[in-house]
Amino acid sequence: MSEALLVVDDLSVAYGATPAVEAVSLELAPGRCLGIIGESGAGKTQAFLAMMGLLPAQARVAGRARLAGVDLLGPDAMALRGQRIAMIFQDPMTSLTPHMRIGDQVAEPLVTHRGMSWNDARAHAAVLLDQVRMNDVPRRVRQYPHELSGGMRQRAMIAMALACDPKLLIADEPTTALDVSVQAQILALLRQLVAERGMALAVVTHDMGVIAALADDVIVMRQGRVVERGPVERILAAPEHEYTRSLLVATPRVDTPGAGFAGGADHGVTVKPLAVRDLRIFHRLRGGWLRRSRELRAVDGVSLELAAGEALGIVGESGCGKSTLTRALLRLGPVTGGEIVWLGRAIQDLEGEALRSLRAGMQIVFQDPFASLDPTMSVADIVAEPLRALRPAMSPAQRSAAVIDMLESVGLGAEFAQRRSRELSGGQCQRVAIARAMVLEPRLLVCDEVVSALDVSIQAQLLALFEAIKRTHGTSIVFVSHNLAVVRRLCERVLVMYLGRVVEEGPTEEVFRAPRHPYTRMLLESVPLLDPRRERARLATLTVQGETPSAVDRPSGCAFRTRCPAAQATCAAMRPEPEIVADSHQVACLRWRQI
Amino acid sequence: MVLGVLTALALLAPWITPYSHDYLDWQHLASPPTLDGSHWLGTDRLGRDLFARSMQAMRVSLLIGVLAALVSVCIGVAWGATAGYVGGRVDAAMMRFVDIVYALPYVFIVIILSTLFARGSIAALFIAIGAVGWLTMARIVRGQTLSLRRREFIDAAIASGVRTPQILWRHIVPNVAGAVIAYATLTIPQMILFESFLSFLGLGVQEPFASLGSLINEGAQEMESSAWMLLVPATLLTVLLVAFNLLGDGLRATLESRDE
Repeated sequence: MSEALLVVDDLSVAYGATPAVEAVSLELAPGRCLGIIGESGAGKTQAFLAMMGLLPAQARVAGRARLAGVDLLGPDAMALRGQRIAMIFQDPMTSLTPHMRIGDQVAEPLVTHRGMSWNDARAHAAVLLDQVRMNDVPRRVRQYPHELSGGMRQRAMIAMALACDPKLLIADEPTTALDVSVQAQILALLRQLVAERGMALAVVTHDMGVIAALADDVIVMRQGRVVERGPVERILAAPEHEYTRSLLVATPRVDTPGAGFAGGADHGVTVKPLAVRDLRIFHRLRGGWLRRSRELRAVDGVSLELAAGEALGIVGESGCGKSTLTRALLRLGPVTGGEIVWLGRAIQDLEGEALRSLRAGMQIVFQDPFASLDPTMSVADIVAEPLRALRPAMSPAQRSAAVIDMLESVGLGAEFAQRRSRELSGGQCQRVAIARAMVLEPRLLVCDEVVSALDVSIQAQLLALFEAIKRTHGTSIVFVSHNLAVVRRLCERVLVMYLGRVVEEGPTEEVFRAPRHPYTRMLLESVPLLDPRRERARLATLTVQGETPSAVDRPSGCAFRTRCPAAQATCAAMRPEPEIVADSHQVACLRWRQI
Repeated sequence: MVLGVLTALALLAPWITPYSHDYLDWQHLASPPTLDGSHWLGTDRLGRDLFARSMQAMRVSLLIGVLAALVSVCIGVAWGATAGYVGGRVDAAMMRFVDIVYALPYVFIVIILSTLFARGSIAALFIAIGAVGWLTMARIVRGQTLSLRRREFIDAAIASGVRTPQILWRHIVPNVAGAVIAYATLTIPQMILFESFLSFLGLGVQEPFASLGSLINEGAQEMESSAWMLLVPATLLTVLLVAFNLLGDGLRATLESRDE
């Protein structure tokens, strides 16, 4: 191993009396990648912000950090930032200036740090954008950030970071905001860049998959301290510290069968409580002057059925219409056409009291644990609200007893009853939301990305809670997620959506083991594996490309054909209808037999 | 603080000073402020004690300010929350109505209203001032409601079967309360100023009662010979307005920082 580029010794960051980072030491050599993993509040981002000098003024930093011999915490550090070290952030939208063209943003550091003229800098920016595999560069440099997709924006950010040929690149959760197929492409790109340029890369993440994909060495952090360090193969295969082990156990794996498979519901021949037929939800986009108004087909002919006590996973990338669909199931959003049959009754046109009386049977839990609780209400009031609205006969004493029972069954004690949402953590908020949904003992629980915003250990606890709910109450669950591994763990059946249509549906195990639709295959292929060797081999031969087009500019025929490796002329002409592959396994692809 | 002292003075004045606001002291016509204990702030042209009159005027000003702000809060919150929550055509119609009322030259309307009613009827003043004050409040509340409407806890309440009026009352109103309180505190001085302005024109409170505006009007006429008659009510009005404005700003700052 060559001479270390970055040497950090005993680095601490504190806010007043509260330590954020305690005595962190690390070394990083050129051409190597260091992964720093930990859950929220582990201090992993704070440590690197300290090295970049980006901490707020009230933070106190102690210890030593040197880059190629220059003290990063001292007065000479200013000259290094942006030149020798560069950083890329989680959210590419907020990290780019909205009113500047992409080309100019990438050119700007070249002008300020390297003293290039704007013309030279723009030309060099185009070269850099080409190096980060940005497609159609001549057009892209003239576009503004909002015209780019998430993946393209992240590429632009990386190009900016590379502008001054940094020796060290710090990536803070570089793929967390991206769809899984885009994530795979960005990870592959980062690997190539490190190999080509001999840079050192430090990746800060909460995702074991990203670590497996990129890191050579790993540091595991918890509550400001390093709990374990070592080469990635050893950390993932034989973790020594208990915390590392618990992180690995909690991380759901896409390549192992879930618990949902083992149990399964006893369907029999009973009537399915929920059936959706040919559901269509269109939004009209108002056109401007001399512009036609256009139609956005958020959900376009979706049919599904759900048995009692069954968990149905709905997966797909952002913009595929999965959230619109679930809101429509509960009649929280508009329905353009089709039928939603709930307990034998078509409910898509019900209004007022008729609709309200149905609400007790179907409940929803949302993605953002903080936004879904009213900040002015206590936990007890929040959980009591459905009872107040739909069980008016209950006495206040019965109601508060029911609330306490419910809180306890989601793992929150009675002491939480009088707290407000801002005093709770994300996981606790989500438990309150689940308690509110379950207090009416609904037959259907819709979960919209409920664990996406949470740390893996909290995620694992909540998944266990959902399994318990399914088992003990026989509640049917519709579980929307972009995280395939989570769906595999919980759901018996899975439905894959792409641009408002169902492309594949079937028993989870069958779909994951033998996916028929090329999009399902691509999704599965995109999920990082927790085995570094397999993961790197996967990234080196990655075939995933492109990003989901906008639902307004839906390709003709099969919407996936623009990204499909097996597309042929017929795919543009004909819209594929669902075909039965096997018992209750359907796929909507014209060429599934051939591929 | 200042506000508390002023309000207490205004309310307790009848017990502090031996003079009532309409007592004519023929021995002291237009006498300047003295410290010998008889007329602290002097008397006016008719020998009425200026301290007593100013305090009585401040009671009227505070009463009108607070009540008019209350009226505007009630109408504004109900109107804005309904428009913002229901949305669509109802929202468009309700807000166009607000725009139309905004566009009316309301000073003239208030002047016409207060001439139509018995001159000096305080009730008519409330209605007149309150009726124009709620417009901005409605716009503020509507804006806040629109952003709340998109928060998931509102969807969760709908999914829990909560009826629309209940949602407005239990979820929307408490969540806009912060902005409303801050803005209402800022409306009070506007209302007081507006009332003073009307009284200055002679359309507001009538003799023997006084408001700060009418006192300033009287004082202005005697400005050259007895400046205190103008200075006393004018200073009081300024201090009162500044105090309310500072309170409003302070409240808004605290409430905003709490939201972070």
